[in-house]
Amino acid sequence: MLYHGPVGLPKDVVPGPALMRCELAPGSNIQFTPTDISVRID
Amino acid sequence: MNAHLRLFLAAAVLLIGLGASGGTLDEVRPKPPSKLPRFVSPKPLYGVFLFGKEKPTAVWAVLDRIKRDSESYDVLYIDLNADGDLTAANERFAGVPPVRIDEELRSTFTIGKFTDPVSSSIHTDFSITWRANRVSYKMKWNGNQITMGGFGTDPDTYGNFSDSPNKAPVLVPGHDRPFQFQHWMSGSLKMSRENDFKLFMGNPGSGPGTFSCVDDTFLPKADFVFATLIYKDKAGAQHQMKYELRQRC
Repeated sequence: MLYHGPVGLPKDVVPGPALMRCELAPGSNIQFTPTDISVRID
Repeated sequence: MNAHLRLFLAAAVLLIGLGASGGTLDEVRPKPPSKLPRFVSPKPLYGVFLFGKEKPTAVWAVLDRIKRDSESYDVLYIDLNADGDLTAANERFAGVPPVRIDEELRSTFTIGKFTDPVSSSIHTDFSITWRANRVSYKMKWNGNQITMGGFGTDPDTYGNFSDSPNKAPVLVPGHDRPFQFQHWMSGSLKMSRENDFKLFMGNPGSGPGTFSCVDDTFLPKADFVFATLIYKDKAGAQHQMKYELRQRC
């Protein structure tokens, strides 16, 4: 029931709050609303 | 007032609420049921399902006990015709004897086929499961693929029914609305290693642990999720990095 994948962080990132904007890849026929998810970088 | 008129008015109240609030579920709470059975438990547990999109239908569910000292919640009342009256004989389900799985006591109520009284859509294999720390549901939307909930961002935050109808979780099953996303145990990203970023896809509800999701077979095989990290560097400049989430479990 989960959709997932590897996320390696960029070298210039600093610890603290960030956003992960989630959406379906172009070409999908499924209706969705892009969703901003708050994450924390440690 | 006849049943059809009451149903129409209930739908109208919900629609007015959605329009006035811009449609955010946090601001829309269906009116509590108007007629309740005499409960045995001193602490019945309330939840409400919001079906459909254009004309949302509020279906209340209340868990009770057969005996005051029952080990589990073993009776479910569910307002299948959405008329606000939970006393109809066909809206009472006695749970099968509770089972213990991995030290956890569960009662599962099998409702089976549910016909949305407003849209006439038929959903199948509808079940609600009580556990001491949460209540979950599952059904096949329009008789096809699964919708289920309610989920939080980790197992400790999965949703539970409430002892007050005014604080009852609002769950939004289904595949009718544009899907949104919620992370699962991925709110903290480590700089020291690669992270496995995991997502539910579905509908947010109202209240803690009320996300309803599709399963991992819902998306066509060619579809996947794009995730864009929006972050700042040491100088405060904003950057983005994109990831393709192509795995499922």
